[in-house]
Amino acid sequence: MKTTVLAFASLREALGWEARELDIPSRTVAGDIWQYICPTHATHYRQYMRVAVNRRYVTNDTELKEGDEIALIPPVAGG
Amino acid sequence: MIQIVEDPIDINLIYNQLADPSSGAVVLFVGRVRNHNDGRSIRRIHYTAYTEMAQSEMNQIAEEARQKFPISQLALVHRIGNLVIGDISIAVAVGTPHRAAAFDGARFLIDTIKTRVPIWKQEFTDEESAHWVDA
Repeated sequence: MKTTVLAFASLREALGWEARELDIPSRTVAGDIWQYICPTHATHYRQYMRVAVNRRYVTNDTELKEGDEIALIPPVAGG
Repeated sequence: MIQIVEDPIDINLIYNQLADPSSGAVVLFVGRVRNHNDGRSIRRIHYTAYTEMAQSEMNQIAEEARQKFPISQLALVHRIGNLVIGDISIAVAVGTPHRAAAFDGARFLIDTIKTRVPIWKQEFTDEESAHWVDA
């Protein structure tokens, strides 16, 4: 499935990119996206980061779909 | 008025938007850039956002506040980009018939914004070292 992945803030800095197209297997869930982004730190990221799909926060067990815009969200610090 | 802006925030403009004559109380919360955090001396802050989602989350939070409190009008304005000490980063204004709900509503809005809206800040210290804030 073709998806778009966006990285923000400290994660954008760590990964060195802000957006990329990612082809993932069907039935991949949100929490498993880290395996395709950064396998060596997947466990850490899954625990400390949040994932949004199409501009809404999702749980780690949410199934991803073709065309999803997936955002990798470090702990927020607005206000 | 629910906005993410890059220009300085005008709190008089925001207050004047909350002109509903049924509001006997208006609470205006202003968040500003302060000069210290966690033992570091701060010179400036750079705010970034996932703007489209930040806007929709702020809209959603405003709707939740309206469900919880008898709010006549509200305004949420967050500034992003480069801010210096004393600059206003966020203004939250709530107009309600009576004061208790105005205080509670404003508190709910700022507290919820701080936990959910995808906005980040990077602090720059006097030595120009940069630090991502993990709130």
